[in-house]
Order: sequence, then C-alpha cells, then structure tokens
Amino acid sequence: MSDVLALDPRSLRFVKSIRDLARNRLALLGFILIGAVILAALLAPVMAPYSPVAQDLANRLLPPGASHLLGTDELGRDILSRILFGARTTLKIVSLVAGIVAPIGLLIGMSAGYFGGYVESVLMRITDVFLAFPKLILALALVSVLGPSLDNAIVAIAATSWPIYARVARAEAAAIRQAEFIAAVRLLGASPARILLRHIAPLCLGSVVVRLALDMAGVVLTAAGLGFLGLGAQPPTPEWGAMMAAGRQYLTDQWWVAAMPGFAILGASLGFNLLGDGIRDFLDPRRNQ
Amino acid sequence: MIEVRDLTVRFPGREKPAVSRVSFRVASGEAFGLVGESGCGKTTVLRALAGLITGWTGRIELAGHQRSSYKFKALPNIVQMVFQDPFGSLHPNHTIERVLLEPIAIHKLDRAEQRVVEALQNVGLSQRFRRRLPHQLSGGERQRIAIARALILSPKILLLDEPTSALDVSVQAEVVNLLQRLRAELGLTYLLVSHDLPLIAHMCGRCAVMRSGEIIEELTAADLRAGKVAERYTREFLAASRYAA
Amino acid sequence: MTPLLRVEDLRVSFPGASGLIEAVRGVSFDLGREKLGLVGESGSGKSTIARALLRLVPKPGIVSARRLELDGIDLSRVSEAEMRSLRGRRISMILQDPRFSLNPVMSVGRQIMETRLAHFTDSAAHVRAQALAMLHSVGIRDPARVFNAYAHELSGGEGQRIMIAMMLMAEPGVLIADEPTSALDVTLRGQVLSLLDDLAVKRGRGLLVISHDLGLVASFCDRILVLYAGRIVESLRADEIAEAQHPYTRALWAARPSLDKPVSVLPTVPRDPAWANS
Repeated sequence: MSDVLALDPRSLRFVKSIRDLARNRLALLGFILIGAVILAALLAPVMAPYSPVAQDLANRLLPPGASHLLGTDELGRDILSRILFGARTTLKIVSLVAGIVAPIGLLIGMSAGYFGGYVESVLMRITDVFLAFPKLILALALVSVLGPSLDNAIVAIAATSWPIYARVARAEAAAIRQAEFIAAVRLLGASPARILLRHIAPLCLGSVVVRLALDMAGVVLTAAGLGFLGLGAQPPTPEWGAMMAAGRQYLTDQWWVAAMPGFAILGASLGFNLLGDGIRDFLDPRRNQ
Repeated sequence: MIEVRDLTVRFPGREKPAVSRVSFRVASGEAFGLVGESGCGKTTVLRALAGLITGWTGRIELAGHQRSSYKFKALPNIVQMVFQDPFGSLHPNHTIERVLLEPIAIHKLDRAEQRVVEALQNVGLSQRFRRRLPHQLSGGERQRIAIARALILSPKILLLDEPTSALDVSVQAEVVNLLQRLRAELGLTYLLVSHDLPLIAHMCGRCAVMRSGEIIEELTAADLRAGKVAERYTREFLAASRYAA
Repeated sequence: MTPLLRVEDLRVSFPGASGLIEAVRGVSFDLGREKLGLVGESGSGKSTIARALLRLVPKPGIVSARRLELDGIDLSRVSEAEMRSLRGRRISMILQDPRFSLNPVMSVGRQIMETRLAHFTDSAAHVRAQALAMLHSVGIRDPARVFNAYAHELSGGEGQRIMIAMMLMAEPGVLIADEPTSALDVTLRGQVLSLLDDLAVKRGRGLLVISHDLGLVASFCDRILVLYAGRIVESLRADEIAEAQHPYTRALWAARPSLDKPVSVLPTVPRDPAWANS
C-alpha cells in the first residue's frame, strides 16, 4: 500500500470524487431537480407571472394555456405562481427541520455514545420511545395538540425525525471513543464538552449529513401530507399539499388543479432522494478502496 | 516518581484478572521497561497509570499524586502517553498545527505560536509540517508529532506503549534516539512497554517481565544482556529474541 | 537446475500528478529452492514487487519486465484466467496480519479446504482429511477444534499458522511471505519461521521473505536482496551480512538495538538518492 503513495492521495481522491459524482447520472438529475426548486424559491417574485394570492373569480379553473401556463385554481389564482411560491414554503420546512433535527440528534447521540453507562441508557430509551411511534401519526398528534400552522408542522416533523440521527451519531461516537487520539486529548486535560464538539462531532457529521439528505424526501412528503390534511400552512399561503387537497374535488374535470402541485411534490422528493443517494455514495469510505 | 503497589485490574465478564498484584517503583529520571507477550497485561498497567482505566484496586502514585481508582482525572503536567499506532493517535482531520495547538488551547497558555515552533524543533521536524494532515506523514513523522504533543505541557513522566513497533527498524532507530535525547535533556521519567528485549535493554536501565498479568521478575539491562535471569520463561523469551533478531 | 522464479528488469510505475512515478525500477533476481530475503523500508517497493509477481498490482499501475518466469512459464504470456489458476496453485502469498486475511464468517476448515478444492478435483472427504493433517503439521495442537473455529476465535499465532496451512494446501512451488511475523510476538516468530522452513524449503519449494527487518531476514534466509527506492542496491549471502559492502545495508544492519553490542546512540540510516541510480 504505502509503496504507491507517491502521489498525493487527498487531491487524487478529490478529483476522483468529483468525477464519480458527475458520472452518477441519477445524482446529477437529483442535483438539477433540487437546484430548480431552490431557484424557484429564490426567484419566485421575479419569475411568477401573477401574485400567488390574488383571486380572479372570472377566470377560475382555467385549463393550462397561454395566459396561465399551468391553469388556475378554484379561486382563479395562477397555479404556476402558487407552485413557485410554494417552493419557498417547502424549502423553509426542509431547511428548518434539517437545522433543528441534525444538531439535536447529533448532540443526544454523541453524548450517549461517548459517555456510555447511565447517560447512554437514559438518552437512548427516550430515543426508542420516539422511534416506537409511526412518524406521521406522531406528527399528526403533535399538530392537533399545538394547533394547525406552518410553524407547528415544522416543530412536529422535527420532533418526530431527530431520533434516527441520535442513533446514527451514537454508533459513530461509540466507535470513535475507543480511538487513541481521543485518549490522547483526554490525557491533555480536555473537557468532555471540548472532546465532543471539537474532536468527535466533525467525524460524526458525515454520516448525519448522508442520513439527512436521504431523509429530506420524507420530510417533503410529510410536510405535504400535513398540508393536505389542513394541518400545515394555512390559506392563503401557497403550499403544495394544501393545493392538492383543494384540487381534489375537481379531479375528474379540472385535473391540473391537483396534478400540478402533485408533480412539484414528486419532483422535489425525487430530487432529494437521488441527491441523497449520490451523497451517500460520495461519502462512503468503501468507495475509495 | 512512579509507585505502583498491588495493582489489580479486572475486566467485567472475565474471571481472571488482567493484571494481578503488580508492584514496582521507578525513580525520577529513570527509564523502566515492562516486557511481555501480547495479552500479558503490560499495556493494561500503562493505561491504568494514565488513568484511562478505572475500577482497579491497589495504589498508584505519580510524582506524589495519588490516582483515583474510580474517576478519570487528567494529570496533564505530570503524565502523558505515546501510543503504539501512530496513525490512530492523531485525529484524522486535524492538521499538525491544530494537534499541537490543542494542549495550548485547553490550558490557555501564552506564547502559542512560539510553543508550536519549539515543539516541532524539539522532535526534529521542519515548520512546513504544520499545514499537513496525519495521512500525509510517514509513520515515523507521525510518531514524532505524537511525542511533540505529549511534551508541550512539560510532563514529568512519559508512558510509552510500544512506540516503535509499528515502524521500520531504520525509522525506529531515529525515534529511539529522539526519545533518549529528550529524556536526557528534559530529565523525563519513562515507562516503556514492549516485547522487544533488545530495545528494552537499549532504552531502559531496569525492566520487569510480565506473564499472565503478573510480574515474574525484575532485571537490570546488564542482567538481560548477560542472560542472568532467574525464571525459565524469561530465559525462553530471551532465546526467542536472539533467534528472531 | 533452473530456478523456480526468474525476474529480469521488473519495473512497476503508477501514474501520478506529474507523470509516471516508478515504484520498482529494474529489479532482477532468481529464486531457487531456497529462502530468499527481500529487505527494504516502507516505500521501497518491496510489497509492490510481490504483487507484480502475482499480477495483483492495483489498477492504474503499469508492470513491465524483460523476463518474468515461474517454473519455466512465461508469465507475460499468461492470460488472466490462467493466472488465476497459477495463483495459489504455483505461487502463493502469506500476508502480514492473519486477522485481516481470513474470512470472518467462514470456518477455518472450510477456508483451508477451499484453496485445495479450487485447484484440484479431490473429494470433499479426502480434502477434509488433508486439511486436518495440514493443521496438525503446522503445529496446531487441536486440529478438530480449530477446523470448526472462526477467525475471531483464534490467537495471533494460530491465525498465522492457519494462513500458512491454507497456502500450502495447494502445494505451490513458490511461496511469498510479506512480513510474515511482524504481527506476532517475539516468542512466536521463531516458531512460525521454522515452520515455513520445514514445510516450504525442506520440501523443495522456494520461499521469498519480504521484511523491513534486516536482522530477522539475515538470521533466517540464505540470501538477501537489499532494496532501496525501487532498486536492489546489494545482493549478498546471509552469513556475509557482517561484511556487507553497501553503506545502506551496513546502516540497516547497525540500526537495530542488539543485546550483545550495547551502544549509547543507535546509528541511523543515511539516505542518498544517488544509490537508487547507480
């Protein structure tokens, strides 16, 4: 092995990774889909031809055409504009959930894995309790208690998805704890907090990010599901799940009202899924052998 | 400087203690060896002295400080350790500079820059190593960094767990010479664990031979070289070392 | 008598950021029915040579040789499929750490039988008996227990014996041992080495021992090749080691602490790029 390390292994691996990622067509497709969602969210005010909330009852339920590319809904609102603005809602949910879930899961899991013993037993039993409930049902219950709103939907989704990150982080931390470089910094007098945050956390981050990328598709679907049931974003805020729900009653005659937001949900969750797969392959250490 | 009395270590789920009633003393500035085959408990003794193992019985005193047997407490200015695997003892994502700054940051020491410069000079490495990551270093260089890190807080005792067994013989010579020079210059006390008798004879004035968790005899380097040993096991060990060397 | 293995001008290079990097630069040697030691530091190309002989150099690596003959077979003309049948059958390699070389989910006995069954059409019952006999001959006291054991249930010494048993089952003519004892305790090293001696060399096989430890190689082998930066800088008989000519060999010989000759400072090994070009 060491006989062939004449070329800098790190730069070589980096170049190889970029190439592999590009070669992975599906990951690229996922990247494009998510890129489109992000672009839509950022440029919604510029790109949207109409206001997402302006009602025009004279032009309700128009089929896709020149004036309204994706048609209008039951209140005459432009569906394209609503989908573009709906991307903001979706991305807000996804990024806030990721931002809440990853640090909480990481902190709980790492502490359990590093300290072991009672700390681990207590933290992991709490985690198990959360894992024992089906995610969507627990989220539903939480929203019903907190009251339906976008913020509460985010809280509910976050509260139901952190345990898996705690599991992932615990496994990593328990393995890293045994490493000699951790023993070395302990002997130097580093506090447990310092060891966890500066030495162990960066090494757990990789698997948490992979898990996060794979889970985001599920978050998109859960968010849409809550919206569909009227428990997420409240009208008139454009939200894909709520839009689908509204279009349900016109499904046979004005299919586009429900189908267009449906395609948006499909595209976004597919995109996250493919991208997540790509990132997992990209970070998988076995790939480099 | 080091006093160990009746040290016994049991691991949960094992009937036989890993270390059984081990006692020895090491004077200040001395280098003492613990010799034995893998599984004889020599590394366990070292880890107990470092504080990395708790739940032992007996008495461990390092430079006048008595170690607690139930709670880990670092004694950073008294004892540091150099590990066997030079790759495993450095954080894979930390640059050498960050590795050396770590003890300085933990103890909020002044003159950080100067200390890093000196630490690298001490172990004979150029300043250009600072920006590198461990995997960009050879085994010998990594072990020098581990030694530099251990010495930044000026400990009195260095615990050495087979520090050269993962290195080529040619690189071993350099690391051994470095350790010898540092001991003389800084007046350090060494406790060296190894299964390499010639190395022990070269580095240590005295050593204890361990077998199945017990110390079976204590020898001086001169005894070792002359083959003046009492136990049959030690004689066989010595013969095997001569054959395979 | 023709040598078992003839190597002439073996070169291995790997593409790097700035052109080809030569890991092995024109190495030639013959291996007869003897113990030949190949000594070098890590990075000297010694393991790459072993891989080149087995045609196991990883992908972008380029191997060339004026002559590469195994028992009269020109290895440069052998197809990949034929090479697979030669590996194990005619030429075999024992690796440094048995814990990583044994399959953790397959019993030891099964793995030993596997090497035989891959190359011979013997009955399973017959091979089983052979495997048990082989375990006995590598000094395993309780062959029946070890036969059914898994890798994690073995000690380091047992693991290495089993690796040797495994390699010998197919009766290869040439055996390569890459650091066969460096994962073992000193007390076991002698046993494993004498086992290799008994089972390989005394039965007319050729043994190539690769190590960074000149002392070990000198005490065990008949001849020694000293490798520096991909070239052989000195080739000598093991009993002439004290009179080695090359400064690199002499330095390697002196760098190891000795029980008999105490020194206050160990001599270190000088490195001169010019040695690799002369």
